[in-house]
Amino acid sequence: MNTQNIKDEIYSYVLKLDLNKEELEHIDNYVKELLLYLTPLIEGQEKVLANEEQFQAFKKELFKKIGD
Amino acid sequence: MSRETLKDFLNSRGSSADSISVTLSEKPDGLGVEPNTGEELLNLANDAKGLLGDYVKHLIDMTDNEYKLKGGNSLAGSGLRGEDLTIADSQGAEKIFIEQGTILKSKLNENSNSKQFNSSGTDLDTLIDKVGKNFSNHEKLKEVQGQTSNIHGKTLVNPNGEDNDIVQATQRVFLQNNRFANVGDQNRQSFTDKPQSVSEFESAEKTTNVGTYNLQNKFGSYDKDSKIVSIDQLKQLGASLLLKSSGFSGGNTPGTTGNTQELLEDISNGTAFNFNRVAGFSKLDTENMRAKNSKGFPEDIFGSSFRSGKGNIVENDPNANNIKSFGSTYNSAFRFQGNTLKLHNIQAAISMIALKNVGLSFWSDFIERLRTEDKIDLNSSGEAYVKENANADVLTYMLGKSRQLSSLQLDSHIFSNLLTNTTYSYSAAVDRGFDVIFRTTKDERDNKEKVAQSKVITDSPGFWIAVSRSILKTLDNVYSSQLVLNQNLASRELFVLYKSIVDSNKFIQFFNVLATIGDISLASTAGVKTKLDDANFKHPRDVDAIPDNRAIPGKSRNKDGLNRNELSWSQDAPTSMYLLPANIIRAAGKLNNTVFGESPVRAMFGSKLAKSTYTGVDVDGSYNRIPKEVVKIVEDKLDAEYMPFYIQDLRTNEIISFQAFLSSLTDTITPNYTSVKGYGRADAVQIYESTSRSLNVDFTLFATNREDFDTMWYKINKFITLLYPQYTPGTMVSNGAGSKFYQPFSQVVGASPIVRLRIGDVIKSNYSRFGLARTFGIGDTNVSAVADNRNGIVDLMANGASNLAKLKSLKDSLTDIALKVWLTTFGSPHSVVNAAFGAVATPKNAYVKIAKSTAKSATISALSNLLVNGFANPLAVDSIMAQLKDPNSDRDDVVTSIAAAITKIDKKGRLSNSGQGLKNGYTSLPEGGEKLRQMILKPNVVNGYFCAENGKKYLTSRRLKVLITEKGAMSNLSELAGLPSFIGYKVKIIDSNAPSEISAGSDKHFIVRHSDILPDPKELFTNSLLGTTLFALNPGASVADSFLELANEYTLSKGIPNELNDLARMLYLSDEAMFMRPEVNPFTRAIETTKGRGLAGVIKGITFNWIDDFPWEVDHNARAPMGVKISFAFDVIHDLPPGLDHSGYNRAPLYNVGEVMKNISGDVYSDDGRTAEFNFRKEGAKATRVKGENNS
Repeated sequence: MNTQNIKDEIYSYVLKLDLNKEELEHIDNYVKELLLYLTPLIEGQEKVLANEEQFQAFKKELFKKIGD
Repeated sequence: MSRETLKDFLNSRGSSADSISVTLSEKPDGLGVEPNTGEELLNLANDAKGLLGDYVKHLIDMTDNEYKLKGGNSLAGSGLRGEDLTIADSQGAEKIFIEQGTILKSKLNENSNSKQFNSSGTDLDTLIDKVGKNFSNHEKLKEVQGQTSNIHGKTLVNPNGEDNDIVQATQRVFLQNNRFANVGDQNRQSFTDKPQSVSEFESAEKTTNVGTYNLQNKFGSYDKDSKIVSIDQLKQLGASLLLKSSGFSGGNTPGTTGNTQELLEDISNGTAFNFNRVAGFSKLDTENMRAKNSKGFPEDIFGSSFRSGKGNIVENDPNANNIKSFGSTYNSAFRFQGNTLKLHNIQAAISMIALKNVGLSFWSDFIERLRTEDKIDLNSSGEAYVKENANADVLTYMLGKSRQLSSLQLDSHIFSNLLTNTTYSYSAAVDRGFDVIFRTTKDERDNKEKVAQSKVITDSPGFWIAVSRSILKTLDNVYSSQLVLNQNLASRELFVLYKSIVDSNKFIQFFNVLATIGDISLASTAGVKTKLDDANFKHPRDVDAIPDNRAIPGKSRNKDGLNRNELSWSQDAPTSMYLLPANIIRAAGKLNNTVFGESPVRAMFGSKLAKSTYTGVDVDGSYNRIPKEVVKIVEDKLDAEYMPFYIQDLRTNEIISFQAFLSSLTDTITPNYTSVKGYGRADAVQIYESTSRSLNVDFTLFATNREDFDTMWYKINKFITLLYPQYTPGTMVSNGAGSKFYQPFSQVVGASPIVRLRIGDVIKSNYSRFGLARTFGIGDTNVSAVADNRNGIVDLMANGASNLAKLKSLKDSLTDIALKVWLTTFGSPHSVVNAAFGAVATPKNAYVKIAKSTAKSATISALSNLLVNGFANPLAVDSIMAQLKDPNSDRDDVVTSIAAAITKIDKKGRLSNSGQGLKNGYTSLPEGGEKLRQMILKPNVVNGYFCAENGKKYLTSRRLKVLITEKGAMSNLSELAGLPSFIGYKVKIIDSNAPSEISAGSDKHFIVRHSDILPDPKELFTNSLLGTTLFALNPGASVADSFLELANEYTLSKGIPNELNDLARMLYLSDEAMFMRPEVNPFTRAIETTKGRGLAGVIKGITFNWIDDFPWEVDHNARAPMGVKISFAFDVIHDLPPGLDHSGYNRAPLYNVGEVMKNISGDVYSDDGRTAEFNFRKEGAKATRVKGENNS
């Protein structure tokens, strides 16, 4: 998952709606702000999934939390 | 410490002691003398004396208290009620707070009674007596009545004050003395100067107004002249706060905050935005959104707030998650309607889509990785285990090992502690939940219209925006408290982040909600991921989606009803059968009531009652009865009900059926004995006298809609006839000049109201032919019952057919023939058969008698397969029902000939359809059509009606007369955009009582749905084939002829009904069976003439409870309850007297319940209840549900 995938799904939804220029600009900014908040989270997720060390560390933290 | 103080005190009085001793005095006015000092402890006779008082003064003198006391002791002022208060100056103090004679003291006295209350017109001391001499204040307050708590749980005294002086005076004083009291009215009083106009009161100029808000910026001093906030400024402040919180207004001081009026105008014009063109949306600092920094707050010459730098919020509060806010989603100009609605919807949808992707994708990837690890681990360890333990049980090892797998542990933890339980996979349920709410499945996303019309969003955009923002805010709070934005997240931080998200819980809660919704949706399709709203998919748990049937009690809506909201428990759902004698139809015609005035035929054939009405040529004259063969058909049909509950009027054979909403059913059987005492006998001799049985039944009738309401009230009226007799025609009189009529009120009681009551299988008749046969002694060795005249069979059908021709010769009068033709065509076809067989001479031969009877039954029974409810003519019913049918449904046939009607009858006994639906519904006429085609538009204060001309929506609280001018798809009827597509009507308002804007002369039209129209029986009937033909009678006999031929043809062509089986069975009847046949046995015939499955008896009394639990309809001529609780008592008259017969066996069991009793008691009808049982199973087959993907 990366931000592009989210964008794709959001825009495939938005483009069906026949918005005018002003409305598209409004929505575009909304999406921009939304992704701004979500990007670090998404990147963090990707990093954990891509890096074995990070993955194991995450797993360890998780299992510590659930009492393993 | 205190001992030292006391010692000092005593030393000052010449004593070296450190304590006070007491020698009790005999004097009554003091405690006695302290021996060390020789002074009296308490001397009430001399104010200046008293050691204890001196000690208190000593203590006070040692402090910095300026309000010193005098020494000694004196008698305290009286505290008794009614006594005058003692002034503080004479209470033993050297100095008091407020001295007598000062201005302050006079003000204090004023406060005791400011006289302000006197402005109420009632002096305070007449209401409350300080000294309690005149009355008890406690009692006065008790007289103030409260009222029941409001929705907030608060009670208030009655605002009108009732008759209570205290309440009224208090309210008057409040009304007259408040800061707003005199605004705009110089005759009132207030604390502000008067008079004062509204604009003056709200203005910033405060020359006369001292009652408004002042900003106080210094502690300890009150500034009443500067930094006044006017009402106008307060309004501006409120608007500014809304504009700030919704993102349209920035600025961190009143001066830099935008002008509210200008901003509101810009928003309305679409030139103001609540986002930054470059940065997009951003959260707002809550400090900026405080009142002190908003427009309208007092500001200095630099535009800074007078409260700047004061009262700051705690920015680093460890318990506060965030000092920024997404703010509000609306203000007075930017609302959840109009142009901005669409953007709100889209924002909500986008937020959800993003969150779904972020959450689910990571989770699925992560858990998949864990599973891969587990798999590798399991494989490798399993191989090692097998190598080391060649003979061990590998499966047991795998089972034990699997419990340690990371993915399973995590799954277990997540699902048991965090995620809601779902029947289907959690992720599948969440996905489905999204689909349900946002319609995000690919197929539907491709459908632009569906996306735009996503009803879940459009119905409550504000709610979904709030949900979306709440989740985003949760997420943002986690960021703010744990991380720096754009930080490169590593696993540790990511875990902390997720932990925070989980701990904050809203993120998870939201997905749990989605999963719950999705799980329910999946459950409804048994896990099959269908397209949403797939009309062809049969939801196995959706009882409303399965075919209409009478077998499932939980079914609510009819699938194939007259409209989509028709409920399956409506009044006419269980078949009822009402008699409409030809006399009554004729009477309406002869009284010129064809169009106006009373006309039962119009009422019954102009409404849903059409399918419950029996009329025809055989019910014309006195004491008409619906043929018993038809009764059997209806009873067989009612036996398929989930719970049969009906009453049969034995005078007419009408059947009134109900939904079995029973609340009480008791059955009391009481034997009566005459006690005879004898001398010397302890116990009386009990001589049996009789046994009586009575029932008490409580049940509820409830109308499911307005049309059903009409049916219910017909039913109630019919029910009441069961308590009154049937009358004779009366005495015929004549004036000798050709005029003859019955003498009014010469009628006498002709028949008692005897009925049969059926409730389930517990309350029903105990008659069986077997039981009756036992009363003849059949079975006893000394009995030999044989019928006479056992000869051969004649060809009844040929004989019957020849007799049918007799019908053609009925030529009483032109009108009568025409009426008979009409009745033949539209009345129950049974009546024709009945009449025809009635015309056949009654043979003497027993076989022929039976053959004639069974042939007639067979004909009627076979014919009933073609008829609505087994007896109503589809041609008559369908021309009414087609009009009542919503044109959005799929049936469209309106037939105009009997031949066409019969050839199109489907399995349900109704006309088949070709799928277009448009021909259904009410008839439309072009402008200027007949006035009789008008209909009634139901009141609608919820959704209202769209006006085609001006696009406004009108909420109508009363019915309106309308003329249907067009029928068709809405897109063709109106240019109004956004209305979902449906087949409806364009109706012209012709009601002169409508508001002038849309009244009769305004030429306005509404766009309405089928269900919005309340059919007027008069119009409905006139518009039907029935009405047209009845009132424009064509006397030609050809219609009747062709019908009779067709009826005969179809009777013969349809299978072999049970009655024909009986015909064959007759060939090998035993002597005894032949003996018991009603055709040859007058006793059997007598009893079976009035047979029925119900328990015979009389209704002893009915109680209607109109009020409890029932709302009332408020339409014209319908202001009556929508439901009623009915209680009635019923005294039983058994068909066969219960008890033991002479052989010792139960001769007529009361409760024919269960298979054992069924074999003992049989059935009232000669087919042994086979048709009823067949119908019962047939209804059950309709209720069968199918699961699986290809189930449609």
